[in-house]
Amino acid sequence: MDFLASVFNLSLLVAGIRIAIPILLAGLGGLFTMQANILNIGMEGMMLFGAWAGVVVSYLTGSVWLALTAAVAVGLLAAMIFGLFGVRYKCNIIVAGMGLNLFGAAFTMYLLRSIFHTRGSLSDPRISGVPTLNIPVIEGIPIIGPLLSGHSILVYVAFLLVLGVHYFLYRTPTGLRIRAVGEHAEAVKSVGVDPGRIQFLAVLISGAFSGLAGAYLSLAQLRLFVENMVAGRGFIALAAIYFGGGTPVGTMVAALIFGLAEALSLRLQTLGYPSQFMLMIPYVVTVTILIIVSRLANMPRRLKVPGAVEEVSMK
Amino acid sequence: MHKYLDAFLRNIVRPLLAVLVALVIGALVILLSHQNPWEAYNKMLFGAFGNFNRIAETLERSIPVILAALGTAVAFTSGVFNAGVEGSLYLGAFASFLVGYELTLPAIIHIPLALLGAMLVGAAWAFIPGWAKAYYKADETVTTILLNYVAVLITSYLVAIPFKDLTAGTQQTPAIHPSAYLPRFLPPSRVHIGLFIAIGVAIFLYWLLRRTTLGYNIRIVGMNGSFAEYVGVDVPRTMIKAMLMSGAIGGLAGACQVMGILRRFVDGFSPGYGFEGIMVALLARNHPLGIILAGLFYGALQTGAAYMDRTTAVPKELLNSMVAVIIFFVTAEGLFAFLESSEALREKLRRWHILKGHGGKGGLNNGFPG
Repeated sequence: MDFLASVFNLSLLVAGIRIAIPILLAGLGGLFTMQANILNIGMEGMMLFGAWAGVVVSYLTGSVWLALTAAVAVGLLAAMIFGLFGVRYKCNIIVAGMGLNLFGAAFTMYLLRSIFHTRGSLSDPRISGVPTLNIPVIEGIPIIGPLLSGHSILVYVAFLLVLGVHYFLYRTPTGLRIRAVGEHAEAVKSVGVDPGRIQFLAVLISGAFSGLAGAYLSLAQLRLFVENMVAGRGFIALAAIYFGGGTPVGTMVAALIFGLAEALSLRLQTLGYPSQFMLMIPYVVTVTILIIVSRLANMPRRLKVPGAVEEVSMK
Repeated sequence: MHKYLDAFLRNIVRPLLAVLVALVIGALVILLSHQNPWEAYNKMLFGAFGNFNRIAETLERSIPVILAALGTAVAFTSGVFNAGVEGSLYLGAFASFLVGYELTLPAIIHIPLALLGAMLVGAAWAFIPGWAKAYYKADETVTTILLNYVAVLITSYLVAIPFKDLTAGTQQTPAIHPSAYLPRFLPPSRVHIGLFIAIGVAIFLYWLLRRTTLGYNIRIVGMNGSFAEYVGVDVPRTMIKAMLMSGAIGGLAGACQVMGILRRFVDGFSPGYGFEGIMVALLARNHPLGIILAGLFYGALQTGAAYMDRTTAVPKELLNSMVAVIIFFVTAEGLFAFLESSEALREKLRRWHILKGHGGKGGLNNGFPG
């Protein structure tokens, strides 16, 4: 019982929420691309650029708000590269995503070394992090207080964005168009809307979200930039989208489950248990669910990129 | 009529143009960081081919990349976007360690057995996403990328707990028996016979894809799945066979690193050979023999960049950014479409008024993108 109490407690939940946020933010952005029938492998790179821009601008200006704006802007810029090659110039979308990830990993390191002459990481007391928010009254309540209060502001933003994304996708004309492109691009074309533009828009939105997710990593969680600090979270976000059935609320639930699994594995690691198996859980569960879901054949039409594989294969 | 010219434009001129664009962008970036691009590129060239040791290092670096690319290319050719060669590579590497460490045999049996073990395990790992793709249409890109993490974590556990070398500070296993070492043939460098294995696999694949029924089936499944089904090819089985080969070759790539270079399993030993393989396969457009060239090119870029990093103020990370640029420009179908065929090129030249003819609007290929 002591063991269980030392592992499963309130601080585990709190840690789980904090770990889930970057996955949730990127996942919410990735929803737009998924709904527009674009397999967005490039979120990893967009997040890395966002994390990098956040730290650099925070370091240079000392303003965390400017830093967050810059992270979103650079995320957009990275998404523009992805959209330009993946949507406009018809690179295979998977290749464009992988190219962007490679570019993000390499170019942020390059800039770090050629501008700041440091290797590996950039940390400095001048980098100001995202402030935390203590909610009055609630913070005094036991259990609920520590669970709901005292998080980084971005945590609250992320949960509000779940509602925002839900509203945007299902209640606005643009949201409808994005979903329509995913369902049937030809039909959208026949009513005079360019599916390519809608897809480009979805890519840009995912870039903004990914930039923010990256800034969460570098400015809310750590207050520094480390090479490859995104470490697969872009892919986990993709997994969370699948896991959550392609809806904002589902993605949120999935991100929280993944966050808890990672928090649990970190906890077990400090207690001397092999963490690798816990860390595997999100991946194994996602792959299993993906196979089951594909078998039930609800999602493949929307998630499959038409022509993607054919373009790569030998001519 | 223009068959060879078209192939030349598509397979040689386009990649070269992409490399040229990347070199120019790279030079601009170097200039912006107040360094001398000419000097940096010179050092890079010397670093890749400057003397015996440099060439040997290039060869050594190319072996896992060529194999990973060949593994990727088989799956791509069958239309399965296997991003999971990295996973097969890790598990295959561990399998070759197990055979090399647990058994004591004469080298003539030990080496093939360890390679075989790696291939079997690599193939088994690739079977999971292959089967899910072939029968349930589960998106293989996502499953394979996620399974890569699982494979790395499995080996990471095995190295950390059951097979840890307690005398070493890093997470690694004890050494395998010398009878399982892949012989090196260019002393004092570490270039090993894995180079010939890689070339052998490339030739085998070329033969298989062009000259056998299975290879033909793989190609038509990749080109047009519904057509393949229509003419009576068992599409799922063909996909799975291609994935099994893909995984086996990936396992071989891992085994080559363990048996030829490291001589033990080291946690996280791959700097992403699987992903490098994807890039190289794309550069070579999945052509097995082209992959040898593209793999050597990639190996040369990596060793050259590492040398440039040591001898100039230009960090080697610039190079990987350039590789990304090359990938973008090689694969952008809509960007250099006029380099696809001689007809499209002539039309483009007409429109630019370099060639005479009815350029501008109303040309032959007016609807052609680009």
